[in-house]
Amino acid sequence: MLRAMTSAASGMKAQQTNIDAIANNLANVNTVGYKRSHAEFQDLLYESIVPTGRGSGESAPTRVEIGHGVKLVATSKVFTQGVISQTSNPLDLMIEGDGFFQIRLPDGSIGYSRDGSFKLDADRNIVTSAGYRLEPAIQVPQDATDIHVARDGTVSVLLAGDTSTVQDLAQIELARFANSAGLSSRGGNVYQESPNSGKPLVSRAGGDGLGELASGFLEMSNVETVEELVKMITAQRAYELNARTITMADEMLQTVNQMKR
Amino acid sequence: MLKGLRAAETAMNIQLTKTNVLANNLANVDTAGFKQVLTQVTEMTDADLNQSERAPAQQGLIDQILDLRAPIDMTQGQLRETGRTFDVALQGDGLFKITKDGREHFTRNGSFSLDAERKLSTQDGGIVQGAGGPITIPDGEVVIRGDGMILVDGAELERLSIVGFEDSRLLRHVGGSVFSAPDDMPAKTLAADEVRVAQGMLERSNANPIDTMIGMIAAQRAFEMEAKVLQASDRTLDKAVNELSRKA
Repeated sequence: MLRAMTSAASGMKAQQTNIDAIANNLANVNTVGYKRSHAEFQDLLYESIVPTGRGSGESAPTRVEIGHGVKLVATSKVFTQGVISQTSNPLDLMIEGDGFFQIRLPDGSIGYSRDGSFKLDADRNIVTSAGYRLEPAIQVPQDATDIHVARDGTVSVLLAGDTSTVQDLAQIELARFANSAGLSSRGGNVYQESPNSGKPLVSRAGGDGLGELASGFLEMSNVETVEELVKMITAQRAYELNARTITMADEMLQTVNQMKR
Repeated sequence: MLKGLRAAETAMNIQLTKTNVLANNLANVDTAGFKQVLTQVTEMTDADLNQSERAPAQQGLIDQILDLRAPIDMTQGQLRETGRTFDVALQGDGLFKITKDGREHFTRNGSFSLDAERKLSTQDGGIVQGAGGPITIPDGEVVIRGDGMILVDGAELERLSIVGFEDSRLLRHVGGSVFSAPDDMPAKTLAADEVRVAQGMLERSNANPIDTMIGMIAAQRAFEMEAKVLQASDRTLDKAVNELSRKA
């Protein structure tokens, strides 16, 4: 009897996590470079029993298997392209296709991000909104009047007093992973390499299967609100179904308790 | 009189088991590749009774014995688009072959990823089997074709091992979305034209919440009814033992 209760409880717990993932996706519907995550489940162990009234249960068709519910196995990221938004700011960069910007994190390690809303800091370094430097670091000269980022990631500037010559400054390098779904999320739109993601493959934009850069555009979140809301409704109903199971199991136990007065 | 008690007890136990099985189906309505377990309450046939070890002694005691059968429902679940490279769904017959802890298992849950050695694996570390054992995926663009062939940058790498069984309903649930096959039912590898693999999709659970809920309500009511039968038998027995004996 209690098995039905614990199975249903595991179902409620799983749906709760599912709702958590959906709520986080919806909360990030306007976050630049956010990739939606998805909760995945597996069934728990099974117990094989021989029903009462049955002597030997050797022959296969008479087996009855009772599962113990459901468990959460993974929340994985879905790296499809997000919605494009035009900003006309030359340092707003969007990756069209596969790849991540490389960011130097405060602890010295490298993070990976699809968020291309770059700015200049006080030392005129190209940094993320959080102030982390692009890797390899690019410093824009003091007297630069105009910055331009080409589709292959070449950063060029016009210097004050010389409006005719464009000077190539540096090259933005992108990284990609064999299994980007295996990256671990660090928060703040930054991912980190994990044993499941594989080693980063670094190259210039547009080369080695990497996407090209579009300057003046941002990649918004890839969360689809309608899909998330439908998922939320089904998750809530599944939660209710499991709650109902618990009530029914409880009523059956009550029946047993009332058998002998 | 004892017959009635025993019959009601058996029936109550069967309804309990049925509830447990159905609760597990409901808990797994969102589990990719899950196959629900059906419950059929039937009367035992004479042949069943003769097979039973306890049968000769009890045959006279019990007029009617209920039996619960629980075959796996292997019907297709709906496909859901995920857009991920290593998500694959099977349309129609077949199961993916995987190994875990040295044992062979089969699954309809094609939510795969790469492990640290870049071997194609399940979410909980089972190794997906190809025609020639584990599949190590080199760097590059991965496409999984309809026949289960994995292509990396356009070049054929290896075909996923997809197997069929004489009667897949006799497979056993192991947990973790995988099945094991009984020893006397060998897996047959399906040919390229016998399978349909869809990349970027997952097969939803085939547990039907409506049917399952109705089954559970029916089980609960049957359980209550049998409890009443048991109480009635008990009262009759009480009369026989305590009242009739007093008059005699």
